[in-house]
Amino acid sequence: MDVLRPPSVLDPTAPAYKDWLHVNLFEPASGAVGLFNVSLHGSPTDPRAVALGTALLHRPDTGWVGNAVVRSLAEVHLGAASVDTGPVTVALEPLTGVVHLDASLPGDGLEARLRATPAAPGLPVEVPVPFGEGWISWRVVPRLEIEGGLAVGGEKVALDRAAAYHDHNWGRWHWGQDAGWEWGVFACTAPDGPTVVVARTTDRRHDAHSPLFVQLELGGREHVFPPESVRLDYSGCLATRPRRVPGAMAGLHADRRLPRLPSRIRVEGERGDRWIEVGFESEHAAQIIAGDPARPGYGFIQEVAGRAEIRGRAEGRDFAAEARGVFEYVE
Amino acid sequence: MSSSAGAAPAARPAARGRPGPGGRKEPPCRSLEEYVEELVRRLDEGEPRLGDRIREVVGARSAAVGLDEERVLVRFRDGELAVRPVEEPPADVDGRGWTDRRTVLNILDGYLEVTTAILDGRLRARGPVDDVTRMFRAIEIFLDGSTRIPPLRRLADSYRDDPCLPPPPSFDERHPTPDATPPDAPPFPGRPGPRERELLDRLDLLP
Repeated sequence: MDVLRPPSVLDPTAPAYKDWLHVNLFEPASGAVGLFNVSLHGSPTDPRAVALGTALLHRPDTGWVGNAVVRSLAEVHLGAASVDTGPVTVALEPLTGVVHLDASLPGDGLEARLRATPAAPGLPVEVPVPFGEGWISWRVVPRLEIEGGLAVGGEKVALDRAAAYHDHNWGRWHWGQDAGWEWGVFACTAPDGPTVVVARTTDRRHDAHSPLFVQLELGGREHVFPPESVRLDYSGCLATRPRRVPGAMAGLHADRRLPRLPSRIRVEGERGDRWIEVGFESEHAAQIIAGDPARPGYGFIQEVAGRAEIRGRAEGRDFAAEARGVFEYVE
Repeated sequence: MSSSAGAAPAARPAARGRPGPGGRKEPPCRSLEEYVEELVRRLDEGEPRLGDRIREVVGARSAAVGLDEERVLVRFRDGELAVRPVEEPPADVDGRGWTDRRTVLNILDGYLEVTTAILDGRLRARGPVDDVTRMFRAIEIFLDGSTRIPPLRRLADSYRDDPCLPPPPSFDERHPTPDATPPDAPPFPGRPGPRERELLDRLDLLP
């Protein structure tokens, strides 16, 4: 069972409250990578607290569509496991883990009404990890089957070959603290295709890292590789300008318009006779700028969309697959 | 530093006080003068520290601010905002800035970078380096304040939906975004890119 994790009224760390529901969509025919996210920032009793709703989708032929909206908590509808910002809604069925997505941003070329059903139960990683001056915790469901309607620039996108990823993060920190993270998901959407998830927290400069989390989902089975047997490397520099949202925050942080993001990422893991290799080529990036509502400070959540190749061995078979993916680099 | 201010159009007549239909709450029509007054009032009320900071940054300087056909003269006198519409700003004004609604909305909605707007002449500023820098610093204080002051965000929404102003550009008008193209200048200090050279040429600053 999964629900939002708001602080109690007696929680002295409530001003640092963060909570979000996140979904990625991968559609191989068009190369689409979708990011749907609703997040809560600040104590629910603070009138400055905000909800950020983001719906962005990248295709190699159209670039980014969608946008991000910032709303005061008083302007959004909150459920036990749902956040409705108006233009962007993510709702989780707490018992089944089914995720419902609504995005209505016709002026930004993106409309979606989707239902994502877990293909496997996922891993409740719910161990708080030190993060900045606070902590972060999460649950992850690497692979979901997806159905519903999606339109880009008013044109319908077929979803019969699409798949999704979902995670839920919550914790206590303020944007602008000495904290960051690296996270990625690389998904082959073919039946029984592999999905690989990587994640680690970092300091803001990405010099210090927590142990790397690497998970493979294959045929409904999940494999976690021990930190000492995994490796994440990146190289090159992505040479395109990111789409930056919300625009007002991009205007404030013009110095961040050309972030240094990797053009290639490589992930390796090994455990007994099981192993994986992921090679990821970056195509384009979006930058979501999160302002802290309780005190001055900003976080820069950079989403790099691209294509990947996944090779490995697990479940008694070798596999090699083309995939779509997204790598998130947060400063 | 200066940028081509060009001749801004004459001030438009203010259209005010239009009621919303059928009880639906619509944002009011506001003039540029009223938007500037609301910006400062909401900043002062939301985070007085930032109100003090903006007065410290701009001091006694005056600025002529133009938005489409409207133009106002803005300054603080003994800490009190003084803003009034003008047809032609006085010659001794310290800084001048002009842009249009489409540019403002494209920046607010993440379709246009401020740097690109300056390079393309859609956002113009003119004056001594220190005065122009302070104008942009004042804008940054409002933007930073908007992360913690909900009424400032609502004012931006109100401007977007102002019923007396043209609607925001459509998706087809904005897509693909000009900023989606590869950078035309290197990301690190080096030779100026073509758009930067155009700007320097416009300002007669090329050797």
